Amino acid sequence: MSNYTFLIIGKNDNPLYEKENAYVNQYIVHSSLDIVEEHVWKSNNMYLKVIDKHNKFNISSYVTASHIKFMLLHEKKDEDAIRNFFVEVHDLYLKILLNPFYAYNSPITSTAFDNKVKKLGTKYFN
Amino acid sequence: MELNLTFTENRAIKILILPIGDISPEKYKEYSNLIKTINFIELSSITRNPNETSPLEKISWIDGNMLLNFVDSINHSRSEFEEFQVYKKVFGVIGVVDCKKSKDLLETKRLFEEAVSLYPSAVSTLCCAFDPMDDQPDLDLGANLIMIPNNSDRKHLIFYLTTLLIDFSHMIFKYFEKMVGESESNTPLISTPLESKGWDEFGKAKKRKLGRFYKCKGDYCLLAGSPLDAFKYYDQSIELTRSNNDWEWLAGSQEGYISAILLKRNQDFNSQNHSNSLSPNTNNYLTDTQINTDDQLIKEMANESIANYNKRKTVQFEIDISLKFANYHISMDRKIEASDLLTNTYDIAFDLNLDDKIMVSCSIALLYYSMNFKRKFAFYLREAAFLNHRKLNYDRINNLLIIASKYYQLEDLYAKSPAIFLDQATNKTVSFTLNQMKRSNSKSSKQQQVQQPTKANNRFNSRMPQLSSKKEKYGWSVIQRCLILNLITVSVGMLDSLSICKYIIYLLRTQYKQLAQQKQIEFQSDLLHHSKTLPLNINTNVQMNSLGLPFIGKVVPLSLPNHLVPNEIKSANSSTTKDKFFIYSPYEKDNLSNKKQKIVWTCDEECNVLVTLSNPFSFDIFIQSLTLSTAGVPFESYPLSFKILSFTDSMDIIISGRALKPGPLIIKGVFVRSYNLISEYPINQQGASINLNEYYSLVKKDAYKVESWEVPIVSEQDDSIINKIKVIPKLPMLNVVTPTVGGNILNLFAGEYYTFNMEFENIGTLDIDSIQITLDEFDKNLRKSIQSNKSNQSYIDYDDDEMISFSWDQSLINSHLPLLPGSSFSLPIIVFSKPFLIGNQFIIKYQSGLNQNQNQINNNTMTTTTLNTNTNQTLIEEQQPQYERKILIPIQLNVIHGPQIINFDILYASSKTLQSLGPYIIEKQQKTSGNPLGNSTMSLSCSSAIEANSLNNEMITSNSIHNDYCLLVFDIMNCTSTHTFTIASNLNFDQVSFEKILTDSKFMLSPNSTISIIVPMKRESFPDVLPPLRQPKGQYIKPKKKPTEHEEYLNRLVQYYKDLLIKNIELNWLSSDNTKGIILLNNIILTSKLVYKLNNDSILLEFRDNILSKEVPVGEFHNIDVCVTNVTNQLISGLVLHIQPILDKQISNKIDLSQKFGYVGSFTVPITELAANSTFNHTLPVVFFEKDSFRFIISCELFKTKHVIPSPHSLHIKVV
Repeated sequence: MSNYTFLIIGKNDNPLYEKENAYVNQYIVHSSLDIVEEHVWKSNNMYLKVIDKHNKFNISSYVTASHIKFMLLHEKKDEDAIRNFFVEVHDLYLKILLNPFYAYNSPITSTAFDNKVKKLGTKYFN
Repeated sequence: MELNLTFTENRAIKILILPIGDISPEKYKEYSNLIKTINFIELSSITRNPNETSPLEKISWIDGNMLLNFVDSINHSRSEFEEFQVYKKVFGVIGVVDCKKSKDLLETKRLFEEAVSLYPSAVSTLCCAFDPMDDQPDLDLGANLIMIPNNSDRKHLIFYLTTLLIDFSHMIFKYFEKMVGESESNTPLISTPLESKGWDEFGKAKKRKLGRFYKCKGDYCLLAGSPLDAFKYYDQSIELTRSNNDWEWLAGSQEGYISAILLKRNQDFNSQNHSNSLSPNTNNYLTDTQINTDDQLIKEMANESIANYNKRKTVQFEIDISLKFANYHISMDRKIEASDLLTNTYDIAFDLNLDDKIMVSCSIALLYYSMNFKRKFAFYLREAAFLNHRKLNYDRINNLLIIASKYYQLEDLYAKSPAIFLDQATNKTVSFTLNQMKRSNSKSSKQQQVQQPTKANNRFNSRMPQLSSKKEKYGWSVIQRCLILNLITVSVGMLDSLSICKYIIYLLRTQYKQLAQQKQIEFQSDLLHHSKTLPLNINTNVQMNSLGLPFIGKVVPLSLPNHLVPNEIKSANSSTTKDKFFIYSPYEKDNLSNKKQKIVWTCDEECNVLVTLSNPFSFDIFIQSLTLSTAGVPFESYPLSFKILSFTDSMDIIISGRALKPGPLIIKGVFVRSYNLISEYPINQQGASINLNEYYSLVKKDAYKVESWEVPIVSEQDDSIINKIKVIPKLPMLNVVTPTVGGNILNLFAGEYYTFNMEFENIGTLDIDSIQITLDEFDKNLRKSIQSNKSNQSYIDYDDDEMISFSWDQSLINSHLPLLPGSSFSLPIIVFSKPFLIGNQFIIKYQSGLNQNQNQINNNTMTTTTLNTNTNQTLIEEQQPQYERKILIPIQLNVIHGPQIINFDILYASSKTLQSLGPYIIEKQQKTSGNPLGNSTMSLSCSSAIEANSLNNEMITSNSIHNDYCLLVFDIMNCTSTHTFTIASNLNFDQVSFEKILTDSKFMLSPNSTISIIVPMKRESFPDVLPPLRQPKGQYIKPKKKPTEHEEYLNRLVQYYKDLLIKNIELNWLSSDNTKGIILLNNIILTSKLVYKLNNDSILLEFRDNILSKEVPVGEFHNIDVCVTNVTNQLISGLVLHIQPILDKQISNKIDLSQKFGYVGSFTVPITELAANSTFNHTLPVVFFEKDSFRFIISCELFKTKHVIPSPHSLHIKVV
């Protein structure tokens, strides 16, 4: 499952981080945000599983306590891998938050974060 | 395929509305909308024969109703599945006629009948002729053509139409009854295009006939508004079709069944409301369990129905019911289920043809919109747009993309809300369901949740949150960029250059950071190409709802140059001073210092504005013109054209213009024309650039209203407003230069007299009627720095204002007034330099005549009509602040010491001494022998000269050796190393008796040398009256110790004499540069001891006969005779005479004088009284024991004041 799109969406509907392949995928993810907002209040879990699909694509989501949405667009349904991926990215995100120079809800520019997320992507989806 | 499908559609009777004859689209719309309001026919309103039996056994005549689905003929297309879906049949046709245009009613009737014949399924027809004219009588043209009477009252009209429509629907109802009542055997086989043409088809059809037959009956029952009858037939139909594997008919029956459930629920609900209103305590029929069981049933039915359609691969029907079911989910507030269903539906629709696909996409989008899933809505709209792309229907793509763009945070791309069509509820289903909603809503809002699926439509109006344009832009740059690129592509297809330019500008403005440099340049060339085709008057603010390129940072108006700044003339009777109770208030001072000076411009004079631009793009921008945008008085802005290079962070440009009339002026921003497009860049009150939304909100707040001078307060930090400018009437212009003073610094010697010229020239266009010159102190800091270099406090003369160093002749100025344009004059300014002076600032205020006159008038009224205070006040109120201009010319004095007094002393001298000095004085001969009047270059008065002369003569003849004179010795040093000074003294004989002998002599003082100048002065008694002591300036703290009376007397004496000397002794110098000046005497130090030397002694002490040297043998008595004479005219009492013997060559102090000589009597003699002009003689007999040389000094002490008067001489006795 090399073809995946991962985005982190901030509180005000603003993308904080993008790992994208095709722009179309961003459209799909963007439209799924509506569904995520619906799901968030119906579950206690951060991991919301597959919440939406479009043609062959599935969209999984993970919402942190501070309502930062992790959106993953993927083809195969491998729940465990996706869950682990989300949890580990959440760890990375928390580390970013601990950085005093990072303001909450602002785009993540750290290249280290980018590299680590890409590594996680290849680990779980290849 | 239709948009916005609901289960309600299954029970709505399709009625076609046709325009008949000549009718304008507006009129047609108006009339048809009128008809469309009546879509709900209550069965209770239909008049029936009570004995009549109906095949609809379970119909509810009270609560039942029929729903009319009006369709415009344009939107209607015949479905090939009319037999299968009965509700798709057209049951009625209504024609709309405009009588004003179609005058021939017979012809109209013919046209209508022709049109109706196209719809064979129609069982009821009606032709409404609106607005009949008086000459069109209601001909009996048959029941179908009805003239609608003229009535302006809409209510009446609707009532009339309702009556017509009730009859109209009754016809249809009768047809339904007939269809339901028909027996099976009379009807043919029902088939649909889905049927395969197999060999066993006939057999199959025969088997299936009954099931299908019942389904149709059910459908008719449903249309007639009888759900219970419908249930009966549908139950049978479901059973039969299932057993025959007639899947699509089974699904159809189930679909109808769902619709019937909903209809029944609706009717129950209505009837319950009716009964509730009568007896409110009856039990609620619609319990939760009832709803839940219904809901469960509907869900099961719907899912089964979808599955059944799927079995026959009837995608179209499957989609239809999916959408209906989704709509039902939405009405039950199950968004996630609805969303899943819709996602599946879209997947199914993949195989449909293009048009249907677009339709599905749009339907899904609308459903999402009703769910308030705006991002999904946008997504499907975009999908629809892409599907349209294959058809190259650019118009539609453009519209869809524009609507979608709003939800991709591109709201500010358009001025008006593009999705406004949704709010108007113009589409068909929305309109009829809405009306239905209104009815049920008006009855109860409590049960809204369990209402019809139509519930969802309510959200179009209420649940959609407001799109906030104030929200900042957030990310999503990739999506936005794609969307804008799509829009550009579409615009290219539509050949819409304006839109292309707009999108390119928007993209560049918002995403220049993300765009590659090469891409930017490509965009720019596109922009350049497309903007050429645009007309010249395109304003981007209006036509594009955006600003153009480049960016503007700040617009700051600059005040006029310092010497042209208008200066407000404060009227003397201004109200501010009146109200003040306290002279000083700390708040006031604070206000003054904080108050920023507001900018004032003058009419018809060029004024400047600083504009900061930036160009972060990778291409140069050529600005065709940059002008100022203003509100208020007319303003002529001089356009500027220039180029901003790429990647310019900030570029400051000064643009100028002139106000044409006096009044308030507001700078709204700047107009920039680039790429053939004009943009008005607005600024806020602080001069910073703002976006259009902020600008519009400012406009709403009346920030640009300029009715009065007072500017409306918009922001809290009002004092920082810089864009409001006052333009005042023309003022004159004066040019003032001081050509001889280089760099505005004068290098002078202390005490120098200097004159320079100030040239005045009127360079304006108005006469100058008043010029006032005043002097002011320098700026504090400058003063401090200059003063720190000098410590010349001793020079400060209390008589002068210490800061004034210049003087001029005001009358000379007045003689040149009024100063006409172009004329000029020069004014000599005189400087007298003192070491402590640092110079002054000249403040030259000037104005044209108007003010003076007004002030004069004002003053007159003040003095003459003091009684009439009312008029006076109005006069003051009306008085606008007047302005004048002010030029500041600072002239700094750099004063260095030339000849300076470094030491001062007073010595006693007798006339004899003075005479002996004679030979050392230059030109003495001439003076003594000649007539003092003749050679006098001084300005002596005649009498004083004579007096001096006589005094002189007397003194010479008497040849006195007494100390009746003293010498004032001035040690003068030349502090320069370059100049030689010639010094001459000039004495004033008025008050002081100087010795004439030394006056009018000249001395050379070469560089770095010192000379002493002696001024002899006759000793005279102290004046009886002394001026009071001056208080030092600016000193408010009194010394702790109060001086005693005597001390104060001494101080006054010192002050008096210092003034006297400074006033009367003038030491003029002429430098080698031919500059003139005087030596300042201010720094001489006069002590009380010195002052007493000036006093004429009241007592004359003499040795008898003035014999001052004697020879006396050892051991012989000798008398020392002393005369004490009172030279005053008063009695002196309490005198003590001292005689002091000393050894002439005293070696040691320890020698006891008593061993060397003896005496009889006392060395100290008290004299109690000494009458005026009398002499006291005292004789002291002494005898000397050794040969030696003795000296006797006598002195007299005034007992009261302890003042000792010494004798100028001593007696020398040589003992032989």
